[in-house]
Amino acid sequence: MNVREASMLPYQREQRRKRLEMALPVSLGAASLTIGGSSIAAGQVASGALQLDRLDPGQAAGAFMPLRIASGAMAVANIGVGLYKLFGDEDEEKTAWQIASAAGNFVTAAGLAGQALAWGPWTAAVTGLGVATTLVADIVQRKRGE
Amino acid sequence: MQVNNSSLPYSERKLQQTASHVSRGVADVADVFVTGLNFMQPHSTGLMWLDIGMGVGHALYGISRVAVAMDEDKTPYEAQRCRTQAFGECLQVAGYVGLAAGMGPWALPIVALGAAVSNFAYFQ
Repeated sequence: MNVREASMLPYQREQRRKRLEMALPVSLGAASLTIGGSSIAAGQVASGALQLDRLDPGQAAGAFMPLRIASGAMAVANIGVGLYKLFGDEDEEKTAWQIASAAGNFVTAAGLAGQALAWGPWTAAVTGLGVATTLVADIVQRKRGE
Repeated sequence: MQVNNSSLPYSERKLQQTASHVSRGVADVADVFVTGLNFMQPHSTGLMWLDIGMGVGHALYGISRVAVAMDEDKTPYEAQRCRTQAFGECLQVAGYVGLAAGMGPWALPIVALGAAVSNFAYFQ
């Protein structure tokens, strides 16, 4: 046990462990929203530059491509997390909130996949809905101690 | 890295932990410096290699955190702290890969988010 942990009360240690555990879904949601938001913003900048003839279509597509790949990668990560929540621990009985959280991950993945395929800014709403669902489900699940 | 050797005197362990905090601070300053360079001079070839180097460094640190988290002697708190830190490092690696791949300033929020998660876990 390290110096800092040794100085904590057991209750404090447990509270901090829960906080650290909660940081994972929160940061995954924040990363999904950041990638999704950047993708939408870059798309808007590129289309604005196209309209002003500051970029040709090839350049615009090239500039946008790394963000589309990043959106796709984040969609795959969300699917992985969702599958882990559903099938990760076979011995544990899944609660409705865990299933809702996994469903939120799949909705987020759908939104990000839409952004990777450049289906337009409305896909950001799907990403946001998925992130919100996951966060609410995770928070409720932890509050209920499940 | 946390100081776990309980056979050492308390003052020695405290000193080692302070040294660990200093090295963590230096790594954070390096992150701020490299991301600042990326913000000011995006798409530079030299910077691409620097981004790759930073990504590899964070990947190695993240792997070391996962290894520590898998150590059965660790308390649940310490194991969770290492896992969260590893996730933050993973985000930073993704950000640096994005920077090296030409995402430009759009990848900076991911690096910043990863650094925030990793530092939160380290100092929690």
